[in-house]
Amino acid sequence: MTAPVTTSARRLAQLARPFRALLLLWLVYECSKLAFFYLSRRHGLLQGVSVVNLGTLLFGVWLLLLRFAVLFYLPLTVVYRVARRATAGAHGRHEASTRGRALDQAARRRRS
Amino acid sequence: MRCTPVRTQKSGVALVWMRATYQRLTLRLLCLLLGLLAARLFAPWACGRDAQAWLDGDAALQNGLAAELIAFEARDDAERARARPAAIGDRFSGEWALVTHQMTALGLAQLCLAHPELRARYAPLATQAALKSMLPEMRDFGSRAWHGEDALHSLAGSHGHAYLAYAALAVSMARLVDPAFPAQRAASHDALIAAYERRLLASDTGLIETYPNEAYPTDVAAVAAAIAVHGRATGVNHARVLGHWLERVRTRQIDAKSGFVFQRMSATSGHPHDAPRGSGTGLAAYYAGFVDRGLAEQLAQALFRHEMTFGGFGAIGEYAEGHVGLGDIDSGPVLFGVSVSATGFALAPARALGHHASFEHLYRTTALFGLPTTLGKGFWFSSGGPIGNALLFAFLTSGPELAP
Repeated sequence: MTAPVTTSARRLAQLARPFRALLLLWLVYECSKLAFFYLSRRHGLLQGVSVVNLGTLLFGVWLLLLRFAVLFYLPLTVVYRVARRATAGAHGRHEASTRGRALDQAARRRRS
Repeated sequence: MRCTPVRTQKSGVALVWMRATYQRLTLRLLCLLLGLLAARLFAPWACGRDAQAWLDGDAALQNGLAAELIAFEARDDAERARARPAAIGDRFSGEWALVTHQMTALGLAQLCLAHPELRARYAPLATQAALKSMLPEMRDFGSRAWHGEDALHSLAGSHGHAYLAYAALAVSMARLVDPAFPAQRAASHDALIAAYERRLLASDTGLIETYPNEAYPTDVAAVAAAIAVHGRATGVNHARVLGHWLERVRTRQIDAKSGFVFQRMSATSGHPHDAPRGSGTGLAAYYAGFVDRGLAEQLAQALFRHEMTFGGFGAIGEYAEGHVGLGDIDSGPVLFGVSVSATGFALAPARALGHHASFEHLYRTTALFGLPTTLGKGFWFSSGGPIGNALLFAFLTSGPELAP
């Protein structure tokens, strides 16, 4: 029972391996979002009726940077990498056969 | 020149290598384009997921934001009960506190108008928030600006005190939706509206001062809105003063070239003291909607002529053509010519007057920077704080308050 589960987990981990930095980015973003939600409520960020807390404000800027990364950089990188992987195999096979054909032609010319 | 077989072989391999490199680069470029396309589609989708629901008046979203603001008001009440609040000396902090309660009241009243079945639940809360915006400590910043003259204790005078129109509008809306509105407070409100009416009719420019020698057409739009809704709530006819104001706005307060209202003017001469700007026009368009749909639409058209879109995100330009600036407390920071306030304020006329495409673009930008979340009791823009959320609550539920 545990063997297939372990195998699946291992396969999943293997699949996620190239994306671990992106996953980490997403996790940091989600944790920061959670922390900011509670921090900003406690300190009344931009509330006007209380003093703006500089630390919370800076944390907000950090969170915005993370948000931009998650919304723009993350989909760009994921799709780019997946597309590269999908095309790399096909391109590699095609390249090898092209190079082989070219070498054959060169050898034939040399013989003649 | 004869090619040796070795040279032929080398040039053949080089050709193959070049072709392979070219193919590799082309593939990489294609993958990059795919990635860019994914980012272009994903970011606007993620930020604009709720836009249509807000347009449709989704109950979960509206009640979610209402619940958070009601909770904020309750925390604020508890804090006030614990420690007697000191007067807010700083003008901007005072304005923000007043606007937070005012916009909460307006949003709740708008929900009552849109969903009469919610009236029993929200109308008393709208009254509470509206009355809070009239408290002495909320208007103290204005009294200080007028050298100690309190707006409610100088109703017979000629000083404008237009800042209190924000609170007066909230009270007008509370009276419109809450049949149990306290009679004593209603009488005091009637007196304030009468004073505003008299001052506005006496003004040739259609402007009354907010602070000494400072008149803001947007604040006077709030005065007109307060008078108009007072008429709807009480049955008093204010047609003459509203007609006077409408005529003066169209002829004196709108910049003919851009369609924006001037941010600041002289109440006596009508000379502009600041540029025609998007932030003032956005809020004026919302307030004008309470009085006259035609004027609100005219201002909205000017706003959306200054809309800039990029990658599915929209924002409103702050300064009219030929004017530049870095922004101020009214607009927030101006980046690439667009401002936070103009963009947020424009959500109200976009929703109320049916500019759906603009609403969606503007909402995406609001959500991008506003960090909406459902972590608390309902729905909340994490970076907005109480004032940002109160403003967005009023703007995102705008529509039912429009003049008939």
